[in-house]
Amino acid sequence: MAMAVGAGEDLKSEINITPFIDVLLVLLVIFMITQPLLRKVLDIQVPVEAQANTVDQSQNIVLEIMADGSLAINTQPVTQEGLSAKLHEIYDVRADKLLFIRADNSRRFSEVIRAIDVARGAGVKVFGLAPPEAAAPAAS
Amino acid sequence: MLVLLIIFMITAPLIASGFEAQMPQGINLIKAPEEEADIILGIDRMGNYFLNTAPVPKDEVQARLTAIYATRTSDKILYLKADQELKMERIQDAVSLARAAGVRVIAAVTEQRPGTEATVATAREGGN
Repeated sequence: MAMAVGAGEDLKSEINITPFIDVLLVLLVIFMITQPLLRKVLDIQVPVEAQANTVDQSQNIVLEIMADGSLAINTQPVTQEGLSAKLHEIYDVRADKLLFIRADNSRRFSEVIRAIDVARGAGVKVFGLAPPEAAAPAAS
Repeated sequence: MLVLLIIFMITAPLIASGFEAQMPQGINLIKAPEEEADIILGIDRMGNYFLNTAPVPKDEVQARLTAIYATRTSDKILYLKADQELKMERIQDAVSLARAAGVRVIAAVTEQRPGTEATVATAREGGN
């Protein structure tokens, strides 16, 4: 292919790929930067002490995670599989999408997150980690 | 060369921070763009506290958070990066600290469960 020109010097006919690699590396860097810029979160509203006491507690829905890992909505036992259906049943007809979550101290963080995740899937918008003392009357 | 330099500049702080935790996984997560002003409280598997990836002794966390949120008027969100294996006891401790410091929303940082898509809106709602 290469034609001999002048004093035997080869004329290069290949495409110069160096700038392409340059561009690709820059793209790589851009993607590396933008990738972690989006965080996935689950919001948990923190009830202010005074606010928690003024809310009509008899209307609250409290999801409890017991010490043995079983679930209960307002003291009524619910299975892990039935949680989503039960929450839909409750919240589809409710105007305030408020759910308090109370977890036993011995349960794992991931279990609570799973419960919150399911609840969010059921259309519940706001979560409160029920303060132990404020939530007690609502659950009884 | 310059590109390599940039790559190392980006990865160096990520490696240097000693914070290690496995985030819990979820499906119906909210997308929250990272911002410079975000306050991140990390709790690793051993229960050590990290504030914006710098280790902080537990008894100083309260004072640090109070100082931060006292002057913050925009949003009182605390991003909580806690290991999924942690007991709720630890999380409740952190929540109590945060509440006392004036935090209104705790955003538990989670990871999308591989192969799943959120079935509800993923944008954060304003207001509450």
